[in-house]
Amino acid sequence: MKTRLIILFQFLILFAHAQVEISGVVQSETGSPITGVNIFIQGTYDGTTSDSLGVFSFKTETSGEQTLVASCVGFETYGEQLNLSSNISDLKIVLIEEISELDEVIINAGTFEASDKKKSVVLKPLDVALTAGANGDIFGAFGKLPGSHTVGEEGRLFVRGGESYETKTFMDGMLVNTPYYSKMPDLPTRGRFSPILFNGSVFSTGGYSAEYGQALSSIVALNTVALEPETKSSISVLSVGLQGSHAKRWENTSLSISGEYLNTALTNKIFKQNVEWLKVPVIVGSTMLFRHKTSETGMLKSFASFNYDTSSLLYDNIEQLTSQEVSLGNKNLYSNTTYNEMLNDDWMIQTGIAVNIDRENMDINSDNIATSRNSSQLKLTLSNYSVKDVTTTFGAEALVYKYDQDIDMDGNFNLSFDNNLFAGFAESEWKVTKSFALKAGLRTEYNSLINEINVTPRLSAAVKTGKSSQLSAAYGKFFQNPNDDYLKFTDELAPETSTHSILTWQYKKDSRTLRIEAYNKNYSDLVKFDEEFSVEPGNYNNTGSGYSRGIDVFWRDQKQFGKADYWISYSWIDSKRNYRDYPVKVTPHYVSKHNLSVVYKQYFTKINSFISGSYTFASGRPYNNPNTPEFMAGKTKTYNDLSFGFTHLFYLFNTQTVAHVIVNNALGFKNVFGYNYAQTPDNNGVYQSQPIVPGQKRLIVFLLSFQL
Amino acid sequence: MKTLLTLIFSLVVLTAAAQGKNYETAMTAALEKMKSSETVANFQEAANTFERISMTETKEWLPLYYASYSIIVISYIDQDVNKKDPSLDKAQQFLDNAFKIAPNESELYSLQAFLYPSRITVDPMTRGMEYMPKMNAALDKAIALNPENPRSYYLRAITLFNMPEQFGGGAEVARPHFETAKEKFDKFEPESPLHPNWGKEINEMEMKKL
Repeated sequence: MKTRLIILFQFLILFAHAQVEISGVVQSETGSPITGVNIFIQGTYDGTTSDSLGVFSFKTETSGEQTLVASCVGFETYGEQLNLSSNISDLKIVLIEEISELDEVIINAGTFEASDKKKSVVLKPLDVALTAGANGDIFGAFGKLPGSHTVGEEGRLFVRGGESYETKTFMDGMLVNTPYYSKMPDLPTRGRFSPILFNGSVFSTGGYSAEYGQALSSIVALNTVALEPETKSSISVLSVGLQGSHAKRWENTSLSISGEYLNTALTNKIFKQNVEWLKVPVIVGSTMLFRHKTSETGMLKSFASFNYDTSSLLYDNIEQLTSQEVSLGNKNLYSNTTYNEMLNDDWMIQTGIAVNIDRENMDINSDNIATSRNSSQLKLTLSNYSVKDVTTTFGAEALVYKYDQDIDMDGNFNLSFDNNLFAGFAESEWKVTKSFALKAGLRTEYNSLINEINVTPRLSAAVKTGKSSQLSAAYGKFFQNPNDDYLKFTDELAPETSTHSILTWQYKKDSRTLRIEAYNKNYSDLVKFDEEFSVEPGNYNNTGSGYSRGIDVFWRDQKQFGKADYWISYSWIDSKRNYRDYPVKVTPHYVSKHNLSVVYKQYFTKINSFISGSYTFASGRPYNNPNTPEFMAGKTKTYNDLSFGFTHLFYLFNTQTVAHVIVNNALGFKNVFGYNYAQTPDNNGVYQSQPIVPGQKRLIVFLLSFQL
Repeated sequence: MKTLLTLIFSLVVLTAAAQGKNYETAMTAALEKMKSSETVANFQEAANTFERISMTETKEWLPLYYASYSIIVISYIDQDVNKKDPSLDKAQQFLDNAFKIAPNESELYSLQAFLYPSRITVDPMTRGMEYMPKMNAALDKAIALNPENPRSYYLRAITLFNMPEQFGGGAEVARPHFETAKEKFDKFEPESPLHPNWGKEINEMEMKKL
């Protein structure tokens, strides 16, 4: 009997809890109701969801001190201690909007990043691959971003009043010493690597991290894809050649190989050439990518590419008033292997080795210049995350560079030099709050050739100025060894230096981004000489200097899929320098004061087609007319280009097929990049001139790609 | 002494039973609600309920499964592209926690394959290439773990059906997959009334469109 009583008593205890009702409203900081919030007593099932007016009400059987939790996507989770002795009504809960990755402060002064993963970026890797007028060239696509100048006869990146050699290219953190194909006089070149190899890239127009050195103006950092998503093959037929690729995917490993043969014989026949080709340009290339996931966080990547290009033309050399047969042959091998792994929760290691072998052979009539550039690099980086909100990176690298040039021109000459560079860097980024971040770094370098040690600081910061806007600033000092063309004559030179100060304001909301950047860049220790190509070491010194200042504006509206997507980029620059054999400080020939690019893209779902267009404008560039007394006082006419790309996806022979057409300079603008002048005047005392023009007025390339 | 032991023993048994019963009752009620859901608000309510249950029942994968499922459904109903990623992040978080509890559960891989296409709709150009192979891999794994799980076949069928012919999709390609799904649905017996058992009706509805 007693036992039964006890059991009964227990039942009573278990089921006779008093019920308490809790009700109230959930609002945002601005007072608007929040719907769909999960409100509950911690540790129980008891709770409810707020309605369209933010109102909620629920009952609970718990009592005493309890924690009420309110959680909702996009808001910080809210907790409040409640004493549940009686009903609670009119509870007012205010949720604070969470600063998502999208809105978090990010140090971006001077930097354009393209990524699929990060949501804060303004570019996607596909933007780089599919920009009209860029011809599938990474550097061509970055040329449509603010900060770069249009220099049509070069095809390389010229950034903020800097020469092309002032921009360095990195792949997975490793230096790519010769990123461009070899170049014929007055004709543009292009990058060696296909943009589809990369799933992320950073184009920095200044103020970059201490991890990178030996670049006065800019860096392009490319990240290769991780594991190939699936096994697949493709064959492409182009109006300029053939391409093929095969990728194989295993569980944690992938291997992909590709090859190409490009030959412009056909297009050169169809489109009238302004160049007299003796042997049309031919490129043979291959790449190999091996990836192995060594653990959950470890990745081993190996990349190799080999390419060979050759061409020959009749060059109308007005400077020397003769016609020359110029032949070019270039062999290039680039390979790197990197390994990344989280050692534990606090440390990450990144290591890499890169080798670049480049052989260039140039024949000018019966003269021959053979140049070999070999570089090898070792790099080790350690990142530490042990302090909350602080990331500290340490690194060291060694770069061994050998330059060797044999000249067979009225006798045999050999010009060569070796340089070993050792560098160390440390950099720390501190996210002080979600709306304020600081970064400070230091880089030190030692060069064996010029026997000099230097230390350079890098500083940057960013602060939110509103929910969708932020201000970012960067300052840094940069060193770069003089160009090979001078170092081969003398090692009595010091590195050239530049300092960057950058201020960026960015507004980013939903699909729209507005970015305005102002910068000031000072150059000193630039190489000057009295006479070009002089073998006399005393001919060269470091007394050159210069400056660049300007404003870059970038606007992008990236609507939902299937809608218009466009960006407008505008740069204004004021840049002067006194270097090389300049008699006075002037704006150099590759700088145009105003540069404008409008890039448009749209996918038409109904017809499975992608259309892209771009318009590029550049104001006239200076050139030196020896018939006038003033140096570099001539100005070319403005540059205009309207280019299109059209891509159509369909099924052909039961195979997924991509048809792609690009049209460059659709309207046939007659662009002039500058003028070459004779070195000596004619009988009337006039220096004869000749305009530097594109290889062809218009270019159309077709591609048919089969996905097997 | 005997009385005290009885007391303790019965207390333990009763509490445990009450709790177990509590879980089943709560899950059953929540499932009922989810099944009758039609609007974003309904599914949000269901997701919240399952989330609350999941926080107490840390050894059960089902509450996490349904919390994730409800959010994925919302992402297909709600057209606002800007909201999709944050809520799918949450759905993925539930799913990841469920994987920790039941790493070899075919249903979880099926649900993963249900989530990926929603990510694609945010930015088809860039995401299609990334998520299609991931989705296929998840379905392969789901089928390998349990060839009798009909949802894997249905999800493969519906994806192929909605994919343009140019990309290797279309009604004819999808048909055999719908048929396999139907076969599997007809035979399917859930492990318990709380286990996943959705998709039969929609599979038949879609088959009528072929």
